[in-house]
Amino acid sequence: MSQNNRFSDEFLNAFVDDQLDGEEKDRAYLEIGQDETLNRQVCELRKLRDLTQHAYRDLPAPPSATTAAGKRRAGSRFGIAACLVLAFGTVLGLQIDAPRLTATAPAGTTAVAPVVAARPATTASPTRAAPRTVAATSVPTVGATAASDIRNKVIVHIADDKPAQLEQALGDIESLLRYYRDSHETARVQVVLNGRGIGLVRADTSAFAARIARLQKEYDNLTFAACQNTLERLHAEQGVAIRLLPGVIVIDSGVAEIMRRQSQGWTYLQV
Amino acid sequence: MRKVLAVMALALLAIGSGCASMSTGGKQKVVYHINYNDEAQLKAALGNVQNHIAAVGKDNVDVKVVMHGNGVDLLKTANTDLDMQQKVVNLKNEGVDFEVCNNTLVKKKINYKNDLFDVSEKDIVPSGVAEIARLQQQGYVYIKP
Amino acid sequence: MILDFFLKTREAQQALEQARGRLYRMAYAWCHNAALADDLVQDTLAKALRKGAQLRDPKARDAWLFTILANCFRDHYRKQRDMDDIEDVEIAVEANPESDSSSAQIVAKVRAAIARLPEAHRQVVTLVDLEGFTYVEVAQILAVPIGTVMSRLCRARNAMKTMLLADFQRNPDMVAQIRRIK
Repeated sequence: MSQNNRFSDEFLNAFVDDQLDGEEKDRAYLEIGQDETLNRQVCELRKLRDLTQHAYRDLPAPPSATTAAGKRRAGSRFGIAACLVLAFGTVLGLQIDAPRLTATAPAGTTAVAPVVAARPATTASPTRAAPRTVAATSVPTVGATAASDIRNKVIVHIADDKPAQLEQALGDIESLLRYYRDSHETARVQVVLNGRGIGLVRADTSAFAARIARLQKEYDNLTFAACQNTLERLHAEQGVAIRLLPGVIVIDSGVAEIMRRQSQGWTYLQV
Repeated sequence: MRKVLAVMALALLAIGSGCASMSTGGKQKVVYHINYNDEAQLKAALGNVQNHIAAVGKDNVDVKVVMHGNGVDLLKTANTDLDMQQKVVNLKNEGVDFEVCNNTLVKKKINYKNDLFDVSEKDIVPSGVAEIARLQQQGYVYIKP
Repeated sequence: MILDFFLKTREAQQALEQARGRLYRMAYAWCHNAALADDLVQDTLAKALRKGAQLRDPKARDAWLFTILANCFRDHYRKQRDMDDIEDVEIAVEANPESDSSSAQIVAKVRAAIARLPEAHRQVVTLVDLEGFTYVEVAQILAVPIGTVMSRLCRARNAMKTMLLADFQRNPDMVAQIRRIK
């Protein structure tokens, strides 16, 4: 099934699972970074992996569950879950809309692989993100994540794009991340951009691309999420598809996402 | 009329969440986030806080005002602008805490003893944004006036 | 020296308890049955303690634990097969109570795809994706050559990709639903 006979399926899988040794890995990074087909294949493999992880994050409680260990609610739902669902939608969108789409690589999911970051989602017919489940089950679920719950989960809401304001916003975000890192506390920060705030992550107009890239590289618990509704509105108004900076995910609605997160116990900051 | 409605909305919001945290002694807990320095906006914000307290009663609410970034200028202005100063004094008399971000003080090279109105060491927090997150984790409702 | 041994044992027990959640997740992914998964995990932990968990180097412990789990799993189905004469076990996809939400539907779809994989493929893909074991470790856990691990993994992921896309192509309503959700 591989379209490129320099790299077998098995090699690509090994690359995605980080099973290559140093020299092979370097070579792979280079080649894959430059080849769009390979890039997309790698992306799809990563998505499958993420989907698998997502599918087993919340499990039904085992019959032996005691009050202490067993009935603990599903461990913290990470922002990654939102972009996993998007990722799934992206995979579908690519296939189902194949005739209409230009050959763009699907949106990068997390900021964890900057070197092989796929080109951001630019589609004229945007991929849809299904909203995340609001956790409200009558069946107690067991979170099987090995990592303990993330202590600090913060949504940062940016709705404006005055340069001084954005400058301060990025400063605040970095300040927050550094604070948690220095005090050795687990944290996740998700930046939600809607309205004029989208300007911060527009590839064509953002004055902060380098700074954002640096932050994404330094902090793997940071996510930038752009509002789908805003993107669609801009597209309708300006007639051009908005390209986002690498690593920026797209969520269905900024406001809905903020409400969902707050109902999950995330704290909120508007900057 | 709009202002009254706004105040009522605020009070209702605070009551709504206050009811959720009844177990903590019945006081509503609110954190106001200030990070801008437009004077008119600042004075309006302080006015909002004042109206909020008036609406629910100072013994029923626990209010913290956290300033960082440009918001620290609120207390800078209060040093020379007596109107601003009076507003701050009134609120402090009703139990409002004014917290200041240390990162900002360092970054802007502000000497809190000289440059800011009535700030003591206990009012300083290491990071304003982290403090706001922390307060929310402890049940404070977030308002950005 | 005895104190050392006791401390190690207690530490081992704590480590085992912590591993319980992850073992359960893997067992569940393999059989999609909470009760059976629970049994397998209890079995695994009991065996691990008996076999001297306290003597294990923590780094190697994980692979070793999952090896025991894999063996328990195989033994269970060997007994089943003897009784029921089944070639390869088909596992059920449990009904999802939250099935009116799209995210839950996607979870169900992914689990269904995993359920349709042959057992050996399912084990490889979950060991790699859920626990991040290296290919060498997976080979050890399932007692197969590493080449087999790699080819099973490839086939599993290809099959999943095909299945998941086919699922959605068959149900365009599903796609419409995802699209409509704002």
